[in-house]
Amino acid sequence: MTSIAEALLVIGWFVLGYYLLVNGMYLTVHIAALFELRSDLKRQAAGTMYQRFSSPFFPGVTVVVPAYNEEAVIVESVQSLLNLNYPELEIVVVNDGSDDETLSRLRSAFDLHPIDADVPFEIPSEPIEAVYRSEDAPGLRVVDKENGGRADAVNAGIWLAEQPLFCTIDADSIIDRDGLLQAVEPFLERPEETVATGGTIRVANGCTIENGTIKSVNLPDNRLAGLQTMEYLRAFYSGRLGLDRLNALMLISGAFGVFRTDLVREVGGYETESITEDFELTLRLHRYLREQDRAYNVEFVPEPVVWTEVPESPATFSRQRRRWYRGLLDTMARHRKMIGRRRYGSPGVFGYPAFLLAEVLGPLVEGFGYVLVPLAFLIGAADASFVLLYFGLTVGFGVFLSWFGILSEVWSFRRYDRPKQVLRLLGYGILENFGFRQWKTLIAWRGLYEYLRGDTSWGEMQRSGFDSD
Amino acid sequence: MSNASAVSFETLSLIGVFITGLLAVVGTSTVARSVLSARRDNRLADVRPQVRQALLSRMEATDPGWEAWVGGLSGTERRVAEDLLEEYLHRIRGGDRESLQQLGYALGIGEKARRKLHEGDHLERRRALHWIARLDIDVTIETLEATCGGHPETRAAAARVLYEQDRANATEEGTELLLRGTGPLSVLGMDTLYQLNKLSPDLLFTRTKESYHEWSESRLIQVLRVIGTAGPASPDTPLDWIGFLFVSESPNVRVAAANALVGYGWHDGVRSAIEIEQVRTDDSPPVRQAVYQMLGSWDDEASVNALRNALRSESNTRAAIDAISALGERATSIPESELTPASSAARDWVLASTEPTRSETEQ
Repeated sequence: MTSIAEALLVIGWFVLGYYLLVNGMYLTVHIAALFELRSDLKRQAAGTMYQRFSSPFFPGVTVVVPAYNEEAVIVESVQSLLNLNYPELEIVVVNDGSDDETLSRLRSAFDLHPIDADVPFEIPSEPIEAVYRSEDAPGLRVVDKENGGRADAVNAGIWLAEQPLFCTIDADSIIDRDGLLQAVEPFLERPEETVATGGTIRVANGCTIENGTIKSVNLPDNRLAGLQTMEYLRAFYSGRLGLDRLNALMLISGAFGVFRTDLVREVGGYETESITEDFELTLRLHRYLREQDRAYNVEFVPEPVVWTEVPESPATFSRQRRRWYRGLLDTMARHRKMIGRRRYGSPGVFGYPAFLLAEVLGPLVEGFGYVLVPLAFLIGAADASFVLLYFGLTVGFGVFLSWFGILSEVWSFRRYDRPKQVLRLLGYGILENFGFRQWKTLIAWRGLYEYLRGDTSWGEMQRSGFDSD
Repeated sequence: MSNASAVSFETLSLIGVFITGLLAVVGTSTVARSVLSARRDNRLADVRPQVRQALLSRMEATDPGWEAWVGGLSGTERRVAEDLLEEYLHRIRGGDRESLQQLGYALGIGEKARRKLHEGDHLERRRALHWIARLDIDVTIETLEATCGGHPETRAAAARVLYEQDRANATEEGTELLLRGTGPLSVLGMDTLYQLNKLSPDLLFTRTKESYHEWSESRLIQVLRVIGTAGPASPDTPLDWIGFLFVSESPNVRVAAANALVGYGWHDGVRSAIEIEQVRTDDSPPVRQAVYQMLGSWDDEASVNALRNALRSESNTRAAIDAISALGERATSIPESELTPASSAARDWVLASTEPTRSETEQ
C-alpha cells in the first residue's frame, strides 16, 4: 500500500472514530432528555391546583418584536400577541428601517401617534426616528429606527421596555396562547436566580392558521420544510431538553426566549456584530454570571411552543444555515476562554466542548468523510467492508437519533397526533441521510469559507404571510 | 486491498444486527405508541358527547344514582367521566358540586387518592391531593403532615387542600407547612400562601421577622411579594424591625421590601423603621425606582418632599422617570433649573407619554 493510501485509511478510521465519539455524546444528551421529559410529564400529570392566569404574581413582560420588511405578517403578528393569555403585557415592535409598508400598516391598523419628546436615555442602537403609542391598544408601542440589523432592533426594544422581563419573538412567529405563562413560571419559582428561559420552536409551514393562532397542526407538503420539522423536534425534545438536564443549556433561541430586562441591559444587550446574537447572548450571560460568582438559572421549558416559518427553497435554506454556521464559529471564538474550565461550570466543562465537537467540527469532519472514504475505496486503500461499516454507522446512528426525537414527541406532547404524520416524520428521519445531511455538511464547509473571508451578511427570507394556507 | 481496512463479516453482521435492532425497537415503539394513542383519542372522542349528556342530566336529578350509572360504564366511558368530572369540579360550586363529588366517590377516585397519598411517590401524592381537594375528602392534618411533610411540592399541595376545604386553622397550619425549610416556594406554594393570607398578612410579617435571616433570598422575595399583594396588616402589628430588609446585600430583596410596603404609608411602625433619606439614596437604581414608587403611594408631605429632592440629585434617567411618575402633576411645578439633566429629560418623556390619547379626551 502506498503512503497516500495508508494516510487515507488512517484518516478514514479517525473520521469513523470521531463520528462514534460525537454520536455517543449525542446519545448521552438524548438519554438525559428522556429523564427530563419523564420528570416533566409526571409533574404535568400531577395536575395544576391553581389558576395560572388569575395568579397575581406573574411579573410584567415586554414582548420585543424586531421587524424588517415584514409587511406581509406584521399586523397579524401583533394582533396575535395582543391576544396572548398573560396578565401584564407590553408589546414593543421595532421597525428596523424597513423599505416596505411595515410601519404604515402598523400605523393604520393600530392608530399610532408619535410621543412628542426625545427618548430620555441613551440607547445602544442606530438612531431612533420616533416612538409611537397606540390609540387602540394601550399596551402597544412602536419604535421606528434606522436600519441596524436584528440585534440592534432588539436592543432598542429592550432599552425602551418598561417591564422586568422581556421576551423576544420574531414577527413571523406565533406563540401558543398560554406560552408566556409557562415560560415565565421559572422566574416565579426561583426569582433571585432565574435569568432566562426558552421554549420550543416548531415549524408553522403546513399548519392552518386563523387570526394569528394555530387551528390545526399539519406537516408541510414541501419536503425541505418537512425535513426541518423533524430536525426541530430532534433539536428541542432531545438536544435542548438533554442539555438542560445536564445544566449546560447553551442557547435560548431568538425566536422565543424570556430574559431579565435589567440583567441584559447590564451586560450591554445583544451583540450587534454577531450574526447569531441569541447564541452569543446566552453564552455571554453564562460567562458574566459565572465570573461574578452569582448563582443563576437558565432553563428550557419544553411545553410553551412558538411556531415559525422555515425556508422552503434550497437557496434560502442554504443562506440561513450558512449564517448560523458562521455565527456559531464567531460566537465560539469569542467565548473560547470558557472551554473546559471548571470556573464556567457545566456550560464550560460539558456544553462548550460538546458544541465544539458536535456542532462546529462535527459537520466538517463528516463532510470530509463523505469524500475521503469513497476515495480510499476507489484507490484500493479501503475495502468494501470498511465502506459498508462507515455508511452503515453514519446512516444507522443518524436514523436512530432522529427517531429518538420523534419518539419523545409521540411519548409527550403529541402535537403531531395522527399516526400518518408520525410515519412521515419517521420517513424524514431516513430520508435526511440520503442527500440532506451530505448537503448540510457542504453548507458547513461553505460557511467556514465565508467566515474565513469575513462575510457577515444575514441574507433575506421571503415571508408568505400567515393566512396563506 | 488493505488488510488494515478489512472488517470481518462477523463484526459487520454484529454491528448491523445491533443497529437494526435499535432501530426496530425505537421505530416500533414510536409507531405503536402513536397508533394506540390515536385509537384511544378516537374512542374517547366518540363516547364523550353521550357521557357528557348523561352526566349533566343526572347531576340535576334529586337522586343521581351515580353508583348504578358508573357500574354500567365501559372503561373508556369511565375515563371520559373522570376527565369531565375534573373539568366541572374546577368550575362548579354549590349543590351541583356536591353531586359531582359523589360521582367522584362512585368512580373510586376517593379511595384511590387515599391509597396513593400513603403509597405513592411525591408526584403521585400531589395528584392524590389534587383529588382530595376537589372531592372534599376528609384527611386529618396529622395524616397530611405525615404523608406530605417531606417534600416542598407535597407540602404546598397539602396546604392547598386546607385552603380549598376551608378548614378551621387553615391559615396557621397551611402557612406553617409552606414555610417549613428555607428554600424557594413553588408557584403553587406561593399562590397558596397568598390565598391563605390575602385578608391579612399579619402572620407572614411575624414569620418573616422570625426567619428572614434563615431563608434563601428567593424565599424571602417570594414572601415579601405575597405580603405586598395581600390586604393590609393590622395597625398593631409590630413592624419596627422592617428596616433591616433595606440593608440586605441583595438589591432584589431591597426592591421586594419597597414593593411590599407600598400600601403601608399609614403604618407608624413602618414609618419609624424606614429612614426615607437613606433608602431614597440607595446605590442601586432599581432599588431607588422601587422606593420612589413606594413614596409615591404613601403620598404624604415627607414622601413628596423626598421625591422632589430626589429629582434634584437623581442621575439615572429610569429612576427619574419613576420619581416623576410618582409625583404626577406636581412634577410640572418644579423649576427646570432645579432638575438634574436626567430628571429634566425624564419629565419631558413622561409628560409626552402620558398625554391623554384622542379617545381618552373624547371620553
